[in-house]
Amino acid sequence: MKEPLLFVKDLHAWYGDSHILQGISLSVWQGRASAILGRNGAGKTTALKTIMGLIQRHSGLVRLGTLRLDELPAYRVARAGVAYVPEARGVFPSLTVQENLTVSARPTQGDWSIERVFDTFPRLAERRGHKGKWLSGGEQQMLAIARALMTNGRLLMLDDPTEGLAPNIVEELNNLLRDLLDDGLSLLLVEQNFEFATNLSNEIYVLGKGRVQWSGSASDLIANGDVTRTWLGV
Amino acid sequence: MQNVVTEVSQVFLDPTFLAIQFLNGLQLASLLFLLSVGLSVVYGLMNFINLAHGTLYMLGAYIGLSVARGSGSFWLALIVAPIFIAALAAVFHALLLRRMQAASPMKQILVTFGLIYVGLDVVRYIWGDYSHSIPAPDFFAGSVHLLGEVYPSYRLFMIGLGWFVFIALYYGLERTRLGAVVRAGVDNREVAMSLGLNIELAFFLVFCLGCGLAGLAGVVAAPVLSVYPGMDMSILVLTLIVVVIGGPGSLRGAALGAFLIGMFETFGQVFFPAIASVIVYALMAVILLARPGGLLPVRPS
Ligand SMILES: Nc1ncnc2c1ncn2[C@@H]1O[C@H](COP(=O)(O)OP(=O)(O)OP(=O)(O)O)[C@@H](O)[C@H]1O
Ligand SMILES: [Mg+2]
Repeated sequence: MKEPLLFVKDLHAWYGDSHILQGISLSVWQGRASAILGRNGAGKTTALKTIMGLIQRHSGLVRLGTLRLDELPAYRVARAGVAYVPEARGVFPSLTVQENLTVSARPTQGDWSIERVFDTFPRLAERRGHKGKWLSGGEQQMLAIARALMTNGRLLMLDDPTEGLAPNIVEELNNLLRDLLDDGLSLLLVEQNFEFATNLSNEIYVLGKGRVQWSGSASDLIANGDVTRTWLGV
Repeated sequence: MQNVVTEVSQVFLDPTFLAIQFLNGLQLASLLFLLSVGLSVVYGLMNFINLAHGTLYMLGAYIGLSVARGSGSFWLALIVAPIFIAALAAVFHALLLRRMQAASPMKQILVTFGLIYVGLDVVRYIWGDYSHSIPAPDFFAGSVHLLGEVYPSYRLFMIGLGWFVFIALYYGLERTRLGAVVRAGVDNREVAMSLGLNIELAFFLVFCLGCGLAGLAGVVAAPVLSVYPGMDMSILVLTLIVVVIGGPGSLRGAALGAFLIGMFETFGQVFFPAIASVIVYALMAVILLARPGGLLPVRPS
Protein backbone atom coordinates (compact mmCIF):
# COMPACT_ATOMS: atom_id res chain seq x y z
CA MET A 1 0.00 0.00 0.00
CA LYS A 2 1.12 3.56 -0.71
CA GLU A 3 2.43 5.81 2.08
CA PRO A 4 -0.34 7.67 3.90
CA LEU A 5 -0.70 11.44 3.51
CA LEU A 6 -1.20 11.92 7.24
CA PHE A 7 0.60 9.55 9.54
CA VAL A 8 0.12 9.74 13.29
CA LYS A 9 1.99 7.41 15.60
CA ASP A 10 1.75 6.98 19.35
CA LEU A 11 0.52 10.50 20.03
CA HIS A 12 0.13 11.56 23.66
CA ALA A 13 -1.48 14.71 25.03
CA TRP A 14 -2.31 16.02 28.47
CA TYR A 15 -4.65 18.61 29.92
CA GLY A 16 -2.80 19.56 33.06
CA ASP A 17 -2.59 16.33 35.03
CA SER A 18 -5.05 14.34 32.95
CA HIS A 19 -3.56 12.08 30.34
CA ILE A 20 -6.18 12.51 27.61
CA LEU A 21 -4.50 10.94 24.56
CA GLN A 22 -2.65 7.83 25.62
CA GLY A 23 -0.87 6.96 22.42
CA ILE A 24 -3.09 7.07 19.35
CA SER A 25 -2.00 6.06 15.87
CA LEU A 26 -3.90 6.64 12.66
CA SER A 27 -3.46 7.31 8.94
CA VAL A 28 -5.27 9.18 6.19
CA TRP A 29 -4.59 8.38 2.55
CA GLN A 30 -4.58 10.75 -0.40
CA GLY A 31 -8.08 11.27 -1.74
CA ARG A 32 -9.66 9.15 0.96
CA ALA A 33 -11.48 9.76 4.22
CA SER A 34 -10.67 8.46 7.67
CA ALA A 35 -13.03 8.93 10.59
CA ILE A 36 -12.54 9.04 14.32
CA LEU A 37 -15.58 7.83 16.21
CA GLY A 38 -16.20 7.61 19.93
CA ARG A 39 -18.48 8.64 22.74
CA ASN A 40 -18.62 12.09 24.28
CA GLY A 41 -15.38 12.85 26.02
CA ALA A 42 -13.49 10.05 24.27
CA GLY A 43 -10.83 12.51 23.16
CA LYS A 44 -11.78 13.07 19.50
CA THR A 45 -11.53 16.85 19.58
CA THR A 46 -8.33 16.57 21.57
CA ALA A 47 -6.89 14.32 18.88
CA LEU A 48 -7.54 16.88 16.11
CA LYS A 49 -6.28 19.78 18.21
CA THR A 50 -3.13 17.88 19.08
CA ILE A 51 -2.43 17.08 15.44
CA MET A 52 -3.02 20.76 14.67
CA GLY A 53 -0.59 21.82 17.39
CA LEU A 54 -3.19 23.68 19.42
CA ILE A 55 -2.46 21.44 22.37
CA GLN A 56 1.06 20.75 23.47
CA ARG A 57 2.09 17.40 22.03
CA HIS A 58 3.62 15.32 24.73
CA SER A 59 5.22 12.70 22.57
CA GLY A 60 4.58 10.91 19.30
CA LEU A 61 4.97 11.44 15.60
CA VAL A 62 2.80 13.43 13.18
CA ARG A 63 3.76 13.51 9.52
CA LEU A 64 2.14 15.08 6.47
CA GLY A 65 3.74 13.45 3.46
CA THR A 66 7.39 13.62 4.36
CA LEU A 67 7.10 16.68 6.60
CA ARG A 68 7.22 16.32 10.38
CA LEU A 69 4.43 18.40 11.92
CA ASP A 70 4.88 17.55 15.57
CA GLU A 71 7.42 20.24 16.26
CA LEU A 72 5.55 23.01 14.47
CA PRO A 73 3.28 25.68 15.93
CA ALA A 74 -0.35 25.59 14.79
CA TYR A 75 -0.03 28.30 12.15
CA ARG A 76 2.84 26.41 10.50
CA VAL A 77 0.87 23.17 10.55
CA ALA A 78 -1.90 25.02 8.74
CA ARG A 79 0.52 26.47 6.20
CA ALA A 80 2.00 23.02 5.66
CA GLY A 81 -1.37 21.92 4.29
CA VAL A 82 -3.72 20.97 7.11
CA ALA A 83 -7.09 22.72 6.87
CA TYR A 84 -9.19 22.60 10.01
CA VAL A 85 -12.88 23.03 10.68
CA PRO A 86 -13.16 23.26 14.46
CA GLU A 87 -15.90 21.97 16.72
CA ALA A 88 -18.74 24.51 16.88
CA ARG A 89 -17.36 26.05 13.65
CA GLY A 90 -15.40 28.92 15.17
CA VAL A 91 -16.59 31.45 12.58
CA PHE A 92 -15.08 34.86 13.42
CA PRO A 93 -18.16 36.71 14.68
CA SER A 94 -16.95 40.27 14.10
CA LEU A 95 -15.57 39.63 10.62
CA THR A 96 -17.82 39.65 7.59
CA VAL A 97 -18.32 36.49 5.56
CA GLN A 98 -15.93 37.82 2.97
CA GLU A 99 -13.31 38.73 5.58
CA ASN A 100 -13.64 35.30 7.20
CA LEU A 101 -12.69 33.89 3.81
CA THR A 102 -9.97 36.31 2.74
CA VAL A 103 -8.16 36.43 6.05
CA SER A 104 -7.24 32.77 5.76
CA ALA A 105 -6.68 32.75 1.99
CA ARG A 106 -3.44 31.34 0.65
CA PRO A 107 -4.16 31.49 -3.06
CA THR A 108 -0.69 30.62 -4.27
CA GLN A 109 -0.90 27.05 -3.04
CA GLY A 110 -3.95 25.74 -4.83
CA ASP A 111 -7.08 26.43 -6.76
CA TRP A 112 -9.60 27.52 -4.14
CA SER A 113 -10.26 31.21 -4.64
CA ILE A 114 -13.00 33.44 -3.32
CA GLU A 115 -14.76 33.22 -6.72
CA ARG A 116 -14.78 29.44 -6.62
CA VAL A 117 -16.02 29.46 -3.02
CA PHE A 118 -18.87 31.81 -3.91
CA ASP A 119 -19.65 29.60 -6.91
CA THR A 120 -19.77 26.52 -4.72
CA PHE A 121 -21.63 28.19 -1.86
CA PRO A 122 -24.06 30.67 -3.41
CA ARG A 123 -25.64 31.39 -0.02
CA LEU A 124 -22.31 32.68 1.24
CA ALA A 125 -22.05 34.92 -1.81
CA GLU A 126 -25.42 36.45 -0.96
CA ARG A 127 -24.29 37.11 2.60
CA ARG A 128 -20.75 38.21 1.87
CA GLY A 129 -21.16 41.53 3.68
CA HIS A 130 -22.83 40.06 6.79
CA LYS A 131 -20.92 39.62 10.02
CA GLY A 132 -20.17 36.04 10.97
CA LYS A 133 -22.33 36.23 14.06
CA TRP A 134 -25.50 36.82 12.05
CA LEU A 135 -25.31 33.55 10.09
CA SER A 136 -27.52 30.53 10.73
CA GLY A 137 -25.95 27.31 11.99
CA GLY A 138 -25.94 25.76 8.53
CA GLU A 139 -24.45 28.88 6.96
CA GLN A 140 -21.79 28.97 9.66
CA GLN A 141 -20.84 25.39 8.92
CA MET A 142 -20.58 26.16 5.21
CA LEU A 143 -18.48 29.22 5.98
CA ALA A 144 -16.19 27.25 8.31
CA ILE A 145 -15.60 24.68 5.57
CA ALA A 146 -15.23 27.29 2.84
CA ARG A 147 -12.76 29.18 5.01
CA ALA A 148 -10.73 26.02 5.57
CA LEU A 149 -10.75 25.35 1.82
CA MET A 150 -9.40 28.85 1.21
CA THR A 151 -6.19 27.77 2.93
CA ASN A 152 -5.75 25.33 0.04
CA GLY A 153 -4.54 22.53 2.26
CA ARG A 154 -4.17 18.90 1.24
CA LEU A 155 -5.90 17.46 4.27
CA LEU A 156 -9.21 18.70 5.62
CA MET A 157 -9.96 17.90 9.26
CA LEU A 158 -13.58 18.37 10.35
CA ASP A 159 -14.74 18.19 13.96
CA ASP A 160 -18.37 17.10 14.25
CA PRO A 161 -19.50 18.94 11.12
CA THR A 162 -23.06 17.59 11.14
CA GLU A 163 -23.78 18.66 14.70
CA GLY A 164 -26.97 20.67 14.93
CA LEU A 165 -27.65 20.64 11.19
CA ALA A 166 -31.05 19.92 9.62
CA PRO A 167 -31.22 16.63 7.64
CA ASN A 168 -31.29 18.35 4.25
CA ILE A 169 -28.17 20.34 5.14
CA VAL A 170 -26.46 17.14 6.30
CA GLU A 171 -27.25 15.66 2.89
CA GLU A 172 -25.79 18.73 1.19
CA LEU A 173 -22.67 18.43 3.33
CA ASN A 174 -22.34 14.78 2.40
CA ASN A 175 -22.43 15.66 -1.30
CA LEU A 176 -19.93 18.45 -0.84
CA LEU A 177 -17.45 16.24 0.97
CA ARG A 178 -17.82 13.57 -1.74
CA ASP A 179 -17.01 16.14 -4.39
CA LEU A 180 -13.97 17.23 -2.43
CA LEU A 181 -12.78 13.63 -2.15
CA ASP A 182 -13.24 13.19 -5.91
CA ASP A 183 -11.09 16.29 -6.33
CA GLY A 184 -8.29 14.49 -4.51
CA LEU A 185 -8.62 16.14 -1.11
CA SER A 186 -8.12 13.91 1.94
CA LEU A 187 -10.43 14.03 4.94
CA LEU A 188 -10.07 13.32 8.62
CA LEU A 189 -13.54 13.35 10.08
CA VAL A 190 -14.64 13.37 13.72
CA GLU A 191 -18.30 12.44 13.96
CA GLN A 192 -21.12 11.62 16.33
CA ASN A 193 -23.31 10.72 13.36
CA PHE A 194 -22.43 7.07 12.78
CA GLU A 195 -24.21 6.73 9.45
CA PHE A 196 -22.73 9.90 8.02
CA ALA A 197 -19.22 8.86 9.00
CA THR A 198 -19.38 5.24 7.86
CA ASN A 199 -20.98 6.33 4.61
CA LEU A 200 -18.09 8.65 3.69
CA SER A 201 -15.05 7.06 5.24
CA ASN A 202 -12.76 4.30 4.15
CA GLU A 203 -10.91 3.86 7.43
CA ILE A 204 -12.52 4.13 10.84
CA TYR A 205 -10.78 4.58 14.17
CA VAL A 206 -12.83 3.96 17.29
CA LEU A 207 -11.53 6.01 20.16
CA GLY A 208 -12.22 5.20 23.81
CA LYS A 209 -10.44 6.10 27.01
CA GLY A 210 -7.76 7.97 25.09
CA ARG A 211 -6.78 4.99 22.92
CA VAL A 212 -7.72 3.59 19.54
CA GLN A 213 -9.84 0.62 20.62
CA TRP A 214 -10.60 -0.66 17.15
CA SER A 215 -9.74 0.25 13.59
CA GLY A 216 -10.81 -1.11 10.25
CA SER A 217 -13.09 -0.50 7.30
CA ALA A 218 -16.57 0.96 7.60
CA SER A 219 -18.25 -2.27 6.54
CA ASP A 220 -16.29 -4.29 9.12
CA LEU A 221 -17.38 -1.86 11.81
CA ILE A 222 -21.04 -2.04 10.83
CA ALA A 223 -20.80 -5.83 11.03
CA ASN A 224 -19.09 -5.76 14.41
CA GLY A 225 -21.84 -5.40 17.01
CA ASP A 226 -19.47 -5.86 19.94
CA VAL A 227 -17.38 -2.82 19.06
CA THR A 228 -20.29 -0.55 18.24
CA ARG A 229 -22.12 -1.52 21.43
CA THR A 230 -19.11 -1.23 23.75
CA TRP A 231 -17.42 1.86 22.37
CA LEU A 232 -20.06 3.76 20.48
CA GLY A 233 -23.32 2.76 22.13
CA VAL A 234 -25.01 2.46 18.74
CA MET B 1 -21.75 87.87 48.85
CA GLN B 2 -24.78 87.54 46.64
CA ASN B 3 -22.94 89.53 44.00
CA VAL B 4 -19.91 87.30 44.00
CA VAL B 5 -22.03 84.17 43.49
CA THR B 6 -23.83 85.64 40.48
CA GLU B 7 -20.61 86.91 39.06
CA VAL B 8 -18.91 83.54 39.44
CA SER B 9 -21.82 81.67 37.97
CA GLN B 10 -21.89 84.10 35.07
CA VAL B 11 -18.27 83.38 34.29
CA PHE B 12 -18.83 79.64 34.52
CA LEU B 13 -21.83 79.64 32.31
CA ASP B 14 -20.24 81.90 29.75
CA PRO B 15 -20.39 79.92 26.49
CA THR B 16 -16.93 81.04 25.43
CA PHE B 17 -15.46 79.89 28.70
CA LEU B 18 -17.20 76.54 28.38
CA ALA B 19 -16.02 76.13 24.79
CA ILE B 20 -12.42 76.81 25.80
CA GLN B 21 -12.68 74.28 28.61
CA PHE B 22 -14.18 71.83 26.16
CA LEU B 23 -11.11 72.26 23.97
CA ASN B 24 -8.87 71.72 26.99
CA GLY B 25 -10.83 68.55 27.70
CA LEU B 26 -10.33 67.40 24.14
CA GLN B 27 -6.62 68.09 24.40
CA LEU B 28 -6.28 65.99 27.54
CA ALA B 29 -8.43 63.31 25.93
CA SER B 30 -6.12 63.29 22.94
CA LEU B 31 -3.10 62.66 25.15
CA LEU B 32 -4.91 60.03 27.20
CA PHE B 33 -5.99 58.28 24.03
CA LEU B 34 -2.45 58.08 22.66
CA LEU B 35 -1.34 56.64 25.98
CA SER B 36 -4.18 54.29 26.73
CA VAL B 37 -4.59 52.68 23.33
CA GLY B 38 -1.35 50.73 23.66
CA LEU B 39 -1.92 49.80 27.28
CA SER B 40 -5.44 48.70 26.48
CA VAL B 41 -4.42 46.57 23.55
CA VAL B 42 -1.67 44.82 25.49
CA TYR B 43 -3.99 44.12 28.38
CA GLY B 44 -6.97 43.12 26.26
CA LEU B 45 -5.20 41.12 23.58
CA MET B 46 -2.18 39.69 25.31
CA ASN B 47 -3.53 39.54 28.87
CA PHE B 48 -0.56 41.48 30.07
CA ILE B 49 -0.72 44.25 32.63
CA ASN B 50 2.10 46.62 31.79
CA LEU B 51 2.34 49.22 34.52
CA ALA B 52 5.56 50.44 32.91
CA HIS B 53 3.58 51.79 29.95
CA GLY B 54 3.88 55.25 31.48
CA THR B 55 7.63 54.80 31.64
CA LEU B 56 7.66 54.48 27.85
CA TYR B 57 5.77 57.78 27.73
CA MET B 58 8.38 59.42 29.94
CA LEU B 59 11.26 57.93 27.97
CA GLY B 60 9.61 59.12 24.77
CA ALA B 61 9.50 62.64 26.16
CA TYR B 62 13.16 62.55 27.19
CA ILE B 63 14.37 61.08 23.93
CA GLY B 64 12.29 63.68 22.15
CA LEU B 65 13.96 66.31 24.33
CA SER B 66 17.45 65.17 23.36
CA VAL B 67 16.59 64.90 19.67
CA ALA B 68 14.89 68.29 19.66
CA ARG B 69 17.87 69.91 21.39
CA GLY B 70 20.43 68.17 19.23
CA SER B 71 18.75 68.83 15.93
CA GLY B 72 16.68 71.88 16.74
CA SER B 73 13.68 70.19 15.18
CA PHE B 74 10.54 69.27 17.08
CA TRP B 75 9.27 67.35 14.08
CA LEU B 76 12.33 65.13 13.98
CA ALA B 77 11.83 64.41 17.68
CA LEU B 78 8.20 63.57 17.00
CA ILE B 79 9.28 60.93 14.49
CA VAL B 80 12.42 59.54 16.10
CA ALA B 81 11.22 59.11 19.68
CA PRO B 82 8.24 56.83 18.89
CA ILE B 83 10.40 54.67 16.63
CA PHE B 84 13.01 54.39 19.34
CA ILE B 85 10.38 53.50 21.94
CA ALA B 86 8.80 50.90 19.62
CA ALA B 87 12.22 49.31 19.17
CA LEU B 88 12.79 49.36 22.91
CA ALA B 89 9.39 47.71 23.34
CA ALA B 90 10.43 44.97 20.93
CA VAL B 91 13.47 44.21 23.07
CA PHE B 92 11.36 44.37 26.21
CA HIS B 93 8.94 41.90 24.64
CA ALA B 94 11.67 39.46 23.68
CA LEU B 95 13.41 39.59 27.06
CA LEU B 96 10.50 39.74 29.42
CA LEU B 97 6.95 39.87 28.17
CA ARG B 98 7.10 36.60 26.28
CA ARG B 99 8.08 34.81 29.46
CA MET B 100 5.69 36.76 31.66
CA GLN B 101 2.59 36.24 29.57
CA ALA B 102 1.64 33.04 31.38
CA ALA B 103 2.58 34.47 34.77
CA SER B 104 -0.04 35.48 37.32
CA PRO B 105 -1.32 39.08 37.21
CA MET B 106 0.34 39.72 40.57
CA LYS B 107 3.75 38.80 39.20
CA GLN B 108 3.18 40.96 36.13
CA ILE B 109 2.23 43.88 38.32
CA LEU B 110 5.25 43.46 40.56
CA VAL B 111 7.72 43.12 37.72
CA THR B 112 6.37 46.02 35.68
CA PHE B 113 6.04 48.12 38.83
CA GLY B 114 9.72 47.46 39.43
CA LEU B 115 10.42 48.62 35.89
CA ILE B 116 8.85 51.98 36.71
CA TYR B 117 11.62 52.55 39.25
CA VAL B 118 14.27 51.32 36.88
CA GLY B 119 12.96 53.80 34.31
CA LEU B 120 12.99 56.58 36.86
CA ASP B 121 16.61 55.92 37.79
CA VAL B 122 17.68 55.66 34.17
CA VAL B 123 16.08 59.00 33.40
CA ARG B 124 17.66 60.65 36.44
CA TYR B 125 21.03 59.21 35.59
CA ILE B 126 20.99 60.38 31.99
CA TRP B 127 19.01 63.62 32.12
CA GLY B 128 19.20 64.66 35.78
CA ASP B 129 16.54 65.69 38.27
CA TYR B 130 15.47 68.98 36.76
CA SER B 131 12.40 69.52 34.75
CA HIS B 132 12.74 70.44 31.10
CA SER B 133 10.54 71.48 28.26
CA ILE B 134 10.53 71.08 24.51
CA PRO B 135 9.47 74.31 22.79
CA ALA B 136 6.48 73.99 20.54
CA PRO B 137 7.36 73.91 16.83
CA ASP B 138 7.45 77.34 15.21
CA PHE B 139 4.43 76.63 13.09
CA PHE B 140 2.28 76.04 16.18
CA ALA B 141 4.11 78.39 18.54
CA GLY B 142 1.53 81.16 18.41
CA SER B 143 -2.11 81.49 19.29
CA VAL B 144 -5.28 81.64 17.30
CA HIS B 145 -8.35 83.75 17.88
CA LEU B 146 -11.25 81.56 18.74
CA LEU B 147 -14.66 82.89 19.82
CA GLY B 148 -13.03 86.14 20.81
CA GLU B 149 -10.42 84.41 22.95
CA VAL B 150 -6.81 83.56 22.22
CA TYR B 151 -6.05 79.88 22.27
CA PRO B 152 -2.59 78.29 21.86
CA SER B 153 -2.50 76.75 18.43
CA TYR B 154 -0.24 73.94 19.68
CA ARG B 155 -3.14 72.64 21.76
CA LEU B 156 -5.28 72.49 18.65
CA PHE B 157 -2.49 70.53 17.01
CA MET B 158 -2.62 68.03 19.90
CA ILE B 159 -6.35 67.59 19.44
CA GLY B 160 -5.91 67.12 15.72
CA LEU B 161 -3.15 64.58 16.20
CA GLY B 162 -5.33 62.52 18.56
CA TRP B 163 -8.09 62.42 15.98
CA PHE B 164 -5.65 61.62 13.21
CA VAL B 165 -4.17 58.68 15.11
CA PHE B 166 -7.62 57.39 16.03
CA ILE B 167 -8.79 57.49 12.43
CA ALA B 168 -5.56 55.95 11.14
CA LEU B 169 -5.77 53.09 13.65
CA TYR B 170 -9.44 52.57 12.90
CA TYR B 171 -8.73 52.42 9.20
CA GLY B 172 -5.81 50.07 9.78
CA LEU B 173 -7.90 47.75 11.89
CA GLU B 174 -10.90 47.66 9.57
CA ARG B 175 -9.29 47.87 6.16
CA THR B 176 -5.85 46.30 6.20
CA ARG B 177 -4.68 42.73 6.16
CA LEU B 178 -2.90 43.10 9.52
CA GLY B 179 -6.07 44.61 10.95
CA ALA B 180 -8.16 41.66 9.79
CA VAL B 181 -5.63 39.22 11.25
CA VAL B 182 -5.71 41.05 14.58
CA ARG B 183 -9.51 41.06 14.65
CA ALA B 184 -9.58 37.34 13.82
CA GLY B 185 -7.09 36.70 16.60
CA VAL B 186 -9.20 38.68 19.05
CA ASP B 187 -12.37 36.84 18.03
CA ASN B 188 -10.82 33.39 18.34
CA ARG B 189 -7.11 33.02 18.76
CA GLU B 190 -6.99 29.22 18.43
CA VAL B 191 -9.04 29.11 15.27
CA ALA B 192 -7.09 31.98 13.76
CA MET B 193 -3.83 30.15 14.35
CA SER B 194 -5.21 26.94 12.95
CA LEU B 195 -6.00 28.81 9.73
CA GLY B 196 -2.35 29.69 9.33
CA LEU B 197 -2.38 33.15 10.87
CA ASN B 198 0.64 34.02 12.96
CA ILE B 199 -1.32 35.69 15.72
CA GLU B 200 1.65 35.97 18.02
CA LEU B 201 3.52 38.01 15.42
CA ALA B 202 0.48 40.17 14.69
CA PHE B 203 -0.06 40.92 18.39
CA PHE B 204 3.65 41.60 18.78
CA LEU B 205 3.49 44.22 16.04
CA VAL B 206 0.44 45.75 17.66
CA PHE B 207 2.29 45.80 20.97
CA CYS B 208 5.23 47.67 19.44
CA LEU B 209 2.86 50.10 17.73
CA GLY B 210 1.01 50.75 21.00
CA CYS B 211 4.27 51.37 22.85
CA GLY B 212 5.45 53.65 20.06
CA LEU B 213 2.28 55.68 20.52
CA ALA B 214 3.11 56.06 24.22
CA GLY B 215 6.46 57.50 23.10
CA LEU B 216 4.63 59.79 20.70
CA ALA B 217 2.39 60.95 23.54
CA GLY B 218 5.51 61.82 25.56
CA VAL B 219 6.89 64.07 22.85
CA VAL B 220 3.51 65.63 22.16
CA ALA B 221 2.96 66.40 25.84
CA ALA B 222 6.40 67.90 26.36
CA PRO B 223 5.67 71.47 25.15
CA VAL B 224 2.57 71.66 27.37
CA LEU B 225 3.40 69.60 30.44
CA SER B 226 7.02 69.67 31.43
CA VAL B 227 9.44 66.78 31.15
CA TYR B 228 10.55 65.54 34.57
CA PRO B 229 11.30 62.29 36.36
CA GLY B 230 7.95 61.01 37.57
CA MET B 231 5.85 62.54 34.78
CA ASP B 232 4.83 58.95 34.01
CA MET B 233 3.20 58.41 37.40
CA SER B 234 1.12 61.55 37.21
CA ILE B 235 -0.70 60.31 34.13
CA LEU B 236 -0.57 56.53 34.63
CA VAL B 237 -3.59 56.42 36.93
CA LEU B 238 -5.80 58.36 34.51
CA THR B 239 -4.60 56.11 31.70
CA LEU B 240 -5.47 52.98 33.65
CA ILE B 241 -8.92 54.38 34.34
CA VAL B 242 -9.41 55.08 30.63
CA VAL B 243 -8.50 51.47 29.81
CA VAL B 244 -10.82 50.03 32.41
CA ILE B 245 -13.88 52.13 31.58
CA GLY B 246 -13.42 51.90 27.82
CA GLY B 247 -13.03 48.13 27.85
CA PRO B 248 -9.58 46.54 27.59
CA GLY B 249 -8.42 45.76 24.07
CA SER B 250 -10.92 48.02 22.36
CA LEU B 251 -9.81 50.87 20.12
CA ARG B 252 -13.15 52.66 20.22
CA GLY B 253 -13.29 51.97 23.96
CA ALA B 254 -9.96 53.69 24.49
CA ALA B 255 -11.18 56.69 22.47
CA LEU B 256 -14.48 56.92 24.34
CA GLY B 257 -12.81 56.41 27.72
CA ALA B 258 -10.22 59.07 26.93
CA PHE B 259 -12.94 61.49 25.89
CA LEU B 260 -14.94 60.95 29.08
CA ILE B 261 -11.97 61.16 31.42
CA GLY B 262 -10.55 64.17 29.55
CA MET B 263 -13.85 65.99 29.98
CA PHE B 264 -14.63 64.99 33.55
CA GLU B 265 -11.11 65.73 34.69
CA THR B 266 -11.02 69.13 32.98
CA PHE B 267 -14.48 70.31 33.97
CA GLY B 268 -14.07 68.79 37.43
CA GLN B 269 -10.95 70.89 37.98
CA VAL B 270 -12.82 73.99 36.89
CA PHE B 271 -16.15 73.59 38.67
CA PHE B 272 -15.34 71.43 41.68
CA PRO B 273 -11.60 71.82 42.26
CA ALA B 274 -11.88 70.51 45.83
CA ILE B 275 -13.25 67.13 44.75
CA ALA B 276 -11.89 66.99 41.20
CA SER B 277 -9.72 63.95 41.76
CA VAL B 278 -12.64 62.04 43.26
CA ILE B 279 -14.87 62.70 40.27
CA VAL B 280 -13.06 60.45 37.81
CA TYR B 281 -12.98 57.62 40.35
CA ALA B 282 -16.67 58.04 40.97
CA LEU B 283 -17.26 57.99 37.23
CA MET B 284 -15.23 54.80 36.94
CA ALA B 285 -17.13 53.17 39.79
CA VAL B 286 -20.50 54.02 38.26
CA ILE B 287 -19.49 52.77 34.82
CA LEU B 288 -18.02 49.55 36.16
CA LEU B 289 -21.09 48.85 38.27
CA ALA B 290 -23.29 49.19 35.21
CA ARG B 291 -20.87 47.54 32.77
CA PRO B 292 -18.13 45.49 34.44
CA GLY B 293 -16.43 44.82 31.11
CA GLY B 294 -16.18 48.52 30.26
CA LEU B 295 -18.25 50.59 27.86
CA LEU B 296 -17.12 49.02 24.58
CA PRO B 297 -15.60 45.64 25.44
CA VAL B 298 -13.79 43.95 22.61
CA ARG B 299 -15.39 40.59 23.37
CA PRO B 300 -19.04 40.91 24.34
CA SER B 301 -19.40 38.62 27.34
N1 LIG C 1 -9.63 22.47 28.14
C1 LIG C 1 -9.72 21.29 28.82
N2 LIG C 1 -9.19 21.18 30.04
C2 LIG C 1 -9.25 20.01 30.72
N3 LIG C 1 -9.84 18.91 30.26
C3 LIG C 1 -10.40 18.96 29.05
C4 LIG C 1 -10.38 20.15 28.26
N4 LIG C 1 -11.02 19.92 27.11
C5 LIG C 1 -11.42 18.64 27.16
N5 LIG C 1 -11.06 18.05 28.32
C6 LIG C 1 -11.32 16.66 28.72
O1 LIG C 1 -10.67 15.83 27.81
C7 LIG C 1 -11.46 14.71 27.50
C8 LIG C 1 -11.61 14.59 26.02
O2 LIG C 1 -12.31 15.71 25.53
P1 LIG C 1 -12.64 15.93 24.00
O3 LIG C 1 -13.22 17.27 23.85
O4 LIG C 1 -11.45 15.61 23.20
O5 LIG C 1 -13.75 14.82 23.76
P2 LIG C 1 -14.60 14.54 22.44
O6 LIG C 1 -14.38 13.14 22.10
O7 LIG C 1 -14.33 15.55 21.42
O8 LIG C 1 -16.07 14.72 23.02
P3 LIG C 1 -17.40 15.27 22.28
O9 LIG C 1 -17.93 14.18 21.46
O10 LIG C 1 -18.31 15.61 23.42
O11 LIG C 1 -17.01 16.48 21.48
C9 LIG C 1 -12.76 14.89 28.25
O12 LIG C 1 -12.71 14.08 29.42
C10 LIG C 1 -12.78 16.33 28.62
O13 LIG C 1 -13.43 16.50 29.84
MG1 LIG D 1 -15.42 17.06 20.62
